[in-house]
Amino acid sequence: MSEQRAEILRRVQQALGRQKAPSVDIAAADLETRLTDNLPRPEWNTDSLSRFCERLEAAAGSHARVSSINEVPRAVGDYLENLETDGHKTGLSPHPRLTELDWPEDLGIDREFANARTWGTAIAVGYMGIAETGSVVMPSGPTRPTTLNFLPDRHIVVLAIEDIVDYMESVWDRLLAEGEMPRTVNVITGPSRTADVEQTLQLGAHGPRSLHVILVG
Amino acid sequence: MAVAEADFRARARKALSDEDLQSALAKAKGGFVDKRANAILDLPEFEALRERGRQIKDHTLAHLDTYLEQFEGNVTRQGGQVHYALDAESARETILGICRDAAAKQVIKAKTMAGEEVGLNEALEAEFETVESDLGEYIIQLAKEPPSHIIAPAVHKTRAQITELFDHHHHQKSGGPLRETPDLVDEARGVLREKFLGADIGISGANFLVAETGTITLVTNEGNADLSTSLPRVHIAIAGVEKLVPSMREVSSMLRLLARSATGQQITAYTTFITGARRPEDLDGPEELHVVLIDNGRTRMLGDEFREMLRCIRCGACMNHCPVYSAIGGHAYGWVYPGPMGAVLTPMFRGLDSSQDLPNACTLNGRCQSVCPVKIRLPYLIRRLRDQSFEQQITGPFARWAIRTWGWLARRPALYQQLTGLMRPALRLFGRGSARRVPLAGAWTAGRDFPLPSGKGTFQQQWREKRGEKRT
Ligand code: SF4
Repeated sequence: MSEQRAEILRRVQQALGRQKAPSVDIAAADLETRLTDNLPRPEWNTDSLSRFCERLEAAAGSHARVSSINEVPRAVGDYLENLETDGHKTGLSPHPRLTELDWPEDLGIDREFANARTWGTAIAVGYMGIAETGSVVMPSGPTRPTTLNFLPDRHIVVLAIEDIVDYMESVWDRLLAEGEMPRTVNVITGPSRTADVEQTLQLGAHGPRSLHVILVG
Repeated sequence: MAVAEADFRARARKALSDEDLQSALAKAKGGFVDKRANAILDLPEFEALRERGRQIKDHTLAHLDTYLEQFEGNVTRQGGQVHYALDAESARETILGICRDAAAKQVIKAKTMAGEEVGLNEALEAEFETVESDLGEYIIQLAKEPPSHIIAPAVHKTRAQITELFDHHHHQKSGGPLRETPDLVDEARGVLREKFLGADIGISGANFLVAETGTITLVTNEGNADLSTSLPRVHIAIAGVEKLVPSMREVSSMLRLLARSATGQQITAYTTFITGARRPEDLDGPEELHVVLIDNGRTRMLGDEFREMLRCIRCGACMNHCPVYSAIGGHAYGWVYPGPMGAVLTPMFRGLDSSQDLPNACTLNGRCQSVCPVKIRLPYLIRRLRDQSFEQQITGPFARWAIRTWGWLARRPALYQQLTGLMRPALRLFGRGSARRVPLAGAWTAGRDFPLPSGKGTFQQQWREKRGEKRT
């Protein structure tokens, strides 16, 4: 195996006409001289929150707004009230901002992550939102298990409005300033979908059939 | 996938008369093109972004050794393992070895073109229960067919055919009524959910590899890649060495290009960044992460005039905009990469002698290049392959004779004009307007009529006259 590694590196360097790889700093300097334009990105003339909501809707996601975290249980109840949940439970991601809330009995909230495979709805806390695309950012970790983003039929994400940034680049800036990249970062934009049957868009392929963002602030 | 590249003509002919295929292609046609066009209207900076995409990839390729070492170092630091494979066989062996070491029984796969390229499925299926999880890939796995499009692998299948496949494989019946799309998608969701939960190994490709952090980037709309890479105990990602980009900033730019060019979305539903294996405090995620980097002909391209083809981000825009692809579909190209990008990559990876028809199945209209998000000069590369095919004597004797004769004539303008002047009245013998049959053009007139000369004189004669008129 390490022979193949050495051979591939040798071939790369032969193709590039050198025997030693330039340092990362030299490479970075070369990149800066090559990039001619300012970072080309979409722009919009509304505020970040409006853009976020507009893009989220365009991706078939929905949203509601509450002014404080304590109102989240009520907003969850309102959302689930009109939905067919087939008796499946609603579960909480093990995030203190959720588990410390007062959840009314009749919502039948399950707090055991071990049961997650049976949940119909999962509630999680978004790390950040991206206005450009209407995406929620979910880094993995003890308070945000990755599988919860994909297993349930309905995904509810609680997101502080102050955590919405304009572009994806700002997410990396914050994450890397806080430490290393987590095992997984899921950038989620609307519910799961497929167009593999005759190019017809169908929601709910393998992941959640719906994505609902509760904006706090 | 074992489909012979040779015999492109026979397959193209068959494709043109395959009614199911033509109806499926007709449904797909336009859809991709319109969606991309709309997505670009929304981003006036798109041209600047394409230029940036080209710059980023050119830079990365010119520093590939630096970035390979950096990527490997970071993956290892985060608890993953990087493997290198020079060719298809060692890629398969490496992956089979990892599966055996893990005492695996079930493998769940997310779509990977690199996996298709090295013939991974056949190798896996011989030893493990192997299931494709991307709906399109799952459909063609049931049909035992290779993909016909790099982002919509089952684009050649009609709903009736999918109904038949699902009825047969899930219910052991046939001849049932045509089923609706939501019903089909739901059924696949149910069947595949069990497979996700039961798998020991998840295999994915990678859309980008980020050197700065050792991160694998995956984009999907279904969420299948995410279930495949978060539920099983072991995650294996396979990717070509050219998938690297320097940093998270650059990958953000590349993602803006990819989603718009591939499906006309601003971003796919799921864009996922995987760095290393499960951390001690994590509640889920695979314990092992393996990244298998393949060469398989790429380092050779890096050193020759085809280097720019390594910029390709596998978006599929070139085939969506190709009139030849729209007419014959992907299977006619005979290997895993169809359309304009395949007309270049297949000869690169498999040798020009078995695929010399591919560079010729192109009208050089240039649409592919004008939509390519990383500005690959596809028509130029295709022309270079034609040159090579001529130089290496792969082109057949009749075609060589014809090209040489034409070349000889073209260098003698007086004679050329005299001869074409004679052709005109000769062709007039077949009538006016157009003709069904013209000698020596049987292949051409089989599918269309031959336009007969109209007006006075050859093009050059008319041109002279018009210019003369203008001058006076
Ligand atoms: S050649 Fe260009 S347009 Fe074609 S798949 Fe590659 S990146 Fe996309």
